[in-house]
Amino acid sequence: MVEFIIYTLIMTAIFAIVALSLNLQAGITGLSNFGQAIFFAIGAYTSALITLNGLPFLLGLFLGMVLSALFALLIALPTPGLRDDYWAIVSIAAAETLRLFINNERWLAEGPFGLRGIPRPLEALFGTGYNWFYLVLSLVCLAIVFIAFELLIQSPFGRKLRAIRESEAMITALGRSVFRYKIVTLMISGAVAGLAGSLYGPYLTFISPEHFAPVVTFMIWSMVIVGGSGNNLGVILGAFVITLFNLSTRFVKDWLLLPTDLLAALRTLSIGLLIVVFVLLRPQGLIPEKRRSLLRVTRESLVTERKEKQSHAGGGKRK
Amino acid sequence: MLVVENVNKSFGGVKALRDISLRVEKGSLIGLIGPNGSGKSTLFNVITGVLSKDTGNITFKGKRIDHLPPHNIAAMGISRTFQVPQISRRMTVLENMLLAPMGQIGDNPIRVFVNWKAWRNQDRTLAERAEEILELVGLIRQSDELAGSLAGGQLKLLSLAVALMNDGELLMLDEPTAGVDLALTDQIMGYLIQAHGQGKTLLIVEHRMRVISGICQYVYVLDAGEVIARGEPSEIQNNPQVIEAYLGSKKKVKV
Repeated sequence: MVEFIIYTLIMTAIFAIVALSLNLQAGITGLSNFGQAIFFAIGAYTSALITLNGLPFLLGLFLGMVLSALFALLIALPTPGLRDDYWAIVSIAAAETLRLFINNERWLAEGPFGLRGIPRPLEALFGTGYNWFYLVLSLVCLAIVFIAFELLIQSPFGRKLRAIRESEAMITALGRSVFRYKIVTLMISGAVAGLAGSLYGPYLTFISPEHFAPVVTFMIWSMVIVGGSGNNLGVILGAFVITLFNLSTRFVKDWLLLPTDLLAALRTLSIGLLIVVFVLLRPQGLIPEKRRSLLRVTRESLVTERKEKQSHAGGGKRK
Repeated sequence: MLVVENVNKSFGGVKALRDISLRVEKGSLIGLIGPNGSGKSTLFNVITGVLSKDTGNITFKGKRIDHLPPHNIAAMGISRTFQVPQISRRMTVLENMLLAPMGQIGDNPIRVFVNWKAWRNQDRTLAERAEEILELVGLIRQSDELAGSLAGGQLKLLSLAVALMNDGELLMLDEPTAGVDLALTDQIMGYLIQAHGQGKTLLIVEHRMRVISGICQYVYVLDAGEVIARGEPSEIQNNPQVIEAYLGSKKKVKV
């Protein structure tokens, strides 16, 4: 039972990182990406190929993030104006193309057979308690991504993203290139999905193109929609709910005498149903996007200043 | 400062702008009037680069701008507002104001983390300036409220405040008082005169002649994509061609 809980939490943490990366594009900036799983895949494959060749885990993680960001740049640049609808089509097409490429080559990553025996970082050091170590590692990564995104979203950069979601014309009229903001966002988002991928491979020790099929992208979308689009905490909760659902329904086969492939299909089906129910009945998700404002410190100092001004004006002297 | 020369623009077979020429000198307050559909907003969109011209030249501060993308034109110092206010309704009033200033350190996502003290200090300074402008236009009480909770007239005020915060030398306002009651119209016109007094150059689009003739030094009248008259407001009001454009040609109007 403890093993199952640890497994669930590690998977939650890894998928929460991917879901946060999607949320930055879709929830905050308003860019629909239907191929986010491929950035997850690039991170996983890059880091696996690096570590399988005896190079350090951190190098693989770093290169996985860089390559994911570069792939985002590569497919974003030719997308006209990076309009939301064009990006949706480009991202799903590019993701499937690259996945099918991996599936059909043999020289690089063993095609459909996938990469086996991916080394786990510091495995010798932790021995039997390794899963605990991995839980801490993935939770720390999740915490770093969460805090970094929260700060980013409240910064001047993040304010522009939230404004772009509502009015690109406004940001353009204020002298900023909407395209530049979008490109940078997609690269950050790609890199963070790549980070999650570099954590995913060593934990499973085996990855194949199947792990990054389009259905995975829709799983990630369901985490964002169920959790609360635009709210990072909600998205993490969404990742937990969907992951728990995914993993615990595996036990259903012990009670229900149905063919396993039918059960697997039913699981995917019920997540689809969940998305529909949420979109119709609770479009804001479990935890709705909170009202953001300036950072608290900035706000507080403004309020004290306002009070000082008022008492000054009350004293009879106005500047 | 802004020179438009012989600009033409067609949408399919419709000539939206025919040989438009106009000049906006530094420090002037210019009106652009004309009935609905006369091409005022099209001209605005061509100047700001949102639409591309077919032929003609547009220069700003001596530089050709008619081939530049809209955000570069805006960055050169043209702040504009829209007929329908372009505001982020899910952000607070103050946050909307802070979208406007150029040269923010925190616009660079790397510096958000590396220079986080610097952008926070800058945010604070900018927020003070933003609150001064909000105080001026009477939105200071709504500073921490969502822009989406504002009434229509207040949204107009906010988009004007954002344009002032953007601090371009030339302010182009597309019907700043459309759909606003008379008291607020006077108030907005007051702010525009005030901004002009502080050294801004203004180009204002209106379709109501009365609103603009009181404050503008020079007025261009557009009809069916052509400049049919230009001059000081008093001359324009008595120009028979202008009266015809506004009231139609079939009625005889006594001048």
